[in-house]
Amino acid sequence: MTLPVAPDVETILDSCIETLREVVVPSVEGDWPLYCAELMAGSLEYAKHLLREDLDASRRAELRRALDEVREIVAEASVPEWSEALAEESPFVAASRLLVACQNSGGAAAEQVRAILHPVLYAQLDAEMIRTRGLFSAFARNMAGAK
Amino acid sequence: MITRDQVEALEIHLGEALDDPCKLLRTDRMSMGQSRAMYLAELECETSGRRKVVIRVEQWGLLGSDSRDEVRVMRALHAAGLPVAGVLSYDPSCEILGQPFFVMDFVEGTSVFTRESLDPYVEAIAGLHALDFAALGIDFFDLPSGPRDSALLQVERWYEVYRGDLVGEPSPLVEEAAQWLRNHAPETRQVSLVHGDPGPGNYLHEGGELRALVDWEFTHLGDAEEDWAYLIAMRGMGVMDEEAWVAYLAEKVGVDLDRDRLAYWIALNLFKGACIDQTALGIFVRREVLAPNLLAIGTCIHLSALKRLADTIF
Repeated sequence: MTLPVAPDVETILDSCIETLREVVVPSVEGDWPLYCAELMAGSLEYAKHLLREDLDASRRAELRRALDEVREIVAEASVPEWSEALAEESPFVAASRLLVACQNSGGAAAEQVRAILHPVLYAQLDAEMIRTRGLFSAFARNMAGAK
Repeated sequence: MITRDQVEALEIHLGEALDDPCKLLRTDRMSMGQSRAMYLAELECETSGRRKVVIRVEQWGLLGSDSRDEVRVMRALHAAGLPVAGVLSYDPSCEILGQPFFVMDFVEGTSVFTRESLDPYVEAIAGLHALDFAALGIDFFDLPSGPRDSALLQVERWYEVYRGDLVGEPSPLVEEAAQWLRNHAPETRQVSLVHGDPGPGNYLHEGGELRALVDWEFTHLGDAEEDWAYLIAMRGMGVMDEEAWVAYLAEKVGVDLDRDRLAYWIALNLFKGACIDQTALGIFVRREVLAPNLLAIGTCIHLSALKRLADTIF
């Protein structure tokens, strides 16, 4: 016997989050258990985001597109380290090596490379911070010295 | 968590450390501190009766530090009469609690910040910076030798921690920030003992009196400005803004902070935060410790430090 329609994962997670916040947290005694319960609610919210989206693939694709945009700048600059960086298979490794090399070279071309890569990396950073906002709030509330 | 199986061995250890056989009545996990699991333990000792001690347990290398130097520096400073808890024992073996740990005196007081506790605290940190560390036998830290080594040693130390516990692939912004910090490292005029994690939450006080400076795991030799930057931009950022901190420190302890250099040390502290936070993610994804605070440190706390770092230097 199976259920005709199983409840979806998000609904189950939402139930856990709401129960933790509305029932468990108000009744928990002790700093450490309370801290853990608040963090668990934030963890479940983050897990919901991770279930919903294939972040790894989308981030790689975004960064790969940005790296494609800088190819012309790199070709014109004729700095061997820059070209070697772009040859890396992983976009994260390629961007890392290229940005490090740009820090060492300086100049307008390095600025142009940063102007293309940084917005993509910042956007990914900001998006991830939004996904982990619940965790952050729970952590900050319980920082030593905060209460 | 200290399990029932571990209690008997821990009682033997504590009895030997205190030279007084004892029973462990209860252990409560303290929520303060992230890099170590901290337990307040209540003991019934044969001779001295009831007493409290604090057990500080390593967490699989969380935040890239170990207890060895922490214990050594605490012992040296306690012996010199500074407000530092006495270390009663140190067990690096992993045989009793599965991780290295040390036991220290319980010090009465609160870590909750109050404005009246600030003056004695910053005076104590200034005093720490002025110590003749060599005369106290603190000769076990790397000694910066070149003029830029106070900064460069720290950049490489935290970069190694980051690379050593990397989960998946490198973060381009962390890599770039490391290079920026190498290229812009300032010169240090005088090498001091640096606490490494100063500010509200890392001292105990009571009635306006400083009771103990705590959390010595990041202590090292370097530039005192690193500590002031940490106090201003990290633990103390909710107390007052940078401008007010600079004025307050100048008036209270005579520290004259150059704003460009301060900006560098703030960036270095943010870099350190971003790097060490990654160790939490490694421990979590390897399932060594599945505590939710490690997920938080390895994700949102890392990201927050990285965001502030990028905003500061790029």
